[in-house]
Amino acid sequence: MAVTECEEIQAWLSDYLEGTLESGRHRVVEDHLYLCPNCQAVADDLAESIKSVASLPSVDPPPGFTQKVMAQVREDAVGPSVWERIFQPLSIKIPIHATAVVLVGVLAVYLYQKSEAPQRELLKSVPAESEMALRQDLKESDAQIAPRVAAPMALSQEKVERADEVRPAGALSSQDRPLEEMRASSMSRVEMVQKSAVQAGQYELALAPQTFAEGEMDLRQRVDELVKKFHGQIIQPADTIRKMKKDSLVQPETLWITLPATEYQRFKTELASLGRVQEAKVTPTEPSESATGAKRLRIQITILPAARSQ
Amino acid sequence: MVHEERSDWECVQKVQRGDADAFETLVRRHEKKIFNLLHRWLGDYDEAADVAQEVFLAAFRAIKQFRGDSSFATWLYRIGVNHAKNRQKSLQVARQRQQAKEVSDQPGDPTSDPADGVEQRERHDLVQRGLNDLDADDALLILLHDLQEFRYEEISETLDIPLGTVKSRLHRARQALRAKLAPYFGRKKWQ
Repeated sequence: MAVTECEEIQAWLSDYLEGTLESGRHRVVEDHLYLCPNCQAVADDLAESIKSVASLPSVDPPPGFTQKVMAQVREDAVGPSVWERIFQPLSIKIPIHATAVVLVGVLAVYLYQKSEAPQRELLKSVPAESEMALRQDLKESDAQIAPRVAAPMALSQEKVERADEVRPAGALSSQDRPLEEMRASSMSRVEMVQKSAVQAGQYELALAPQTFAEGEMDLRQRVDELVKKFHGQIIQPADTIRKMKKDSLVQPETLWITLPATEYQRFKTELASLGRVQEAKVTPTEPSESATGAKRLRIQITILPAARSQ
Repeated sequence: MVHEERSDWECVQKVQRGDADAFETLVRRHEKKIFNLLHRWLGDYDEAADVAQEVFLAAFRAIKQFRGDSSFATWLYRIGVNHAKNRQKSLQVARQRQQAKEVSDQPGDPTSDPADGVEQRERHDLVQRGLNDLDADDALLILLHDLQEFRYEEISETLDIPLGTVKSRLHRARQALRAKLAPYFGRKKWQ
């Protein structure tokens, strides 16, 4: 018998054994098997194999299988948990990791915007002509300086000093720089402070004494006396009475006062006797009224470091 | 048979309306057949129990999507096959590690009925090992047709493959199993 014929016959064996072959083909296979012991052996083994599978014993599921399944089914049927209810309408499962990443992202954006807000406020408060200079200054300064500058009521002498401490590395220290250069730098910074601190006072005055000699009366003390003389009141900082420290001679000092509006011009004139006075009217708001009904101005005074006498 | 299917459909509709208890009828009706198929296909009693449980739970969760286009049994078997296929992969790796180990030697294997004769048990073990060694799809076709007595049309519907393919692949699978078992048939003929 040709091998190809055997292969063809063997391909029909499944149907032959199941009795699903059409009668003509069934007879062909039967005849072949009668004459071919090899194909007959294959047919016998195949029949045996099918019978062996069919005779595999049926097994029962473990005891309590139905109850276990139904317990889970009933638990499932009770309804989704709070979290599942939140996410179910989305028809997707949001993995907890993805949720966490989104939350971290939102937090990061929030914190970034929060840290940017003071700088934006500061920029808004600066007149257009100074904005470019201020932007440059903010870039050069440590980021911590900006919020301090932007919070005028918190701009105490101490904070100005601290801001100086965090100037970029490589900048000259106060002691190393020539005094005039230092004064110019301080003046520039005071101007910036004046311009940014629009909410601090209705008027701003910068006092730059021309000379300074050891033993000369404390400039700050003289300013305090002038304020009292013109019925003014120092409102910030609280520790106004303290003496200026020696190293603060090269640092500007800022204080806020209130003064009767009627006294302002005379106060300014007398202040000019202590040094050069620069004035900036920064807000057009109406002066506040005191308990007595007198109009009072809110004034920010910046005392610049004195030039040393030759 | 038609009455059975209708009963299944009625139960399904009850479950779909929120009566979870009606699902118990479906579990009781189909658990043994599903479990036996999984047991023989996976070759492991405990694995079969786990997967069968998953299958029924998955069916319950998806029952609202069942529209009655096929019989509930066909739909359930489809779920069973999908779940067991995933388990097959991990089991095949484990089986390769324990190739020499007899299925019936596993402690606590309830398929070894003490009432069976030694020869009978030996025969079952050989057939089971032969099935385990087959390609998983081939073994599934043999089990569905020769053990569970599915018609070709039912297999075609359950596995979503053409009828002609079912026939040709089943024959090929049977020949593969015969080749594995034939040496034993030559030595010992079982009744």
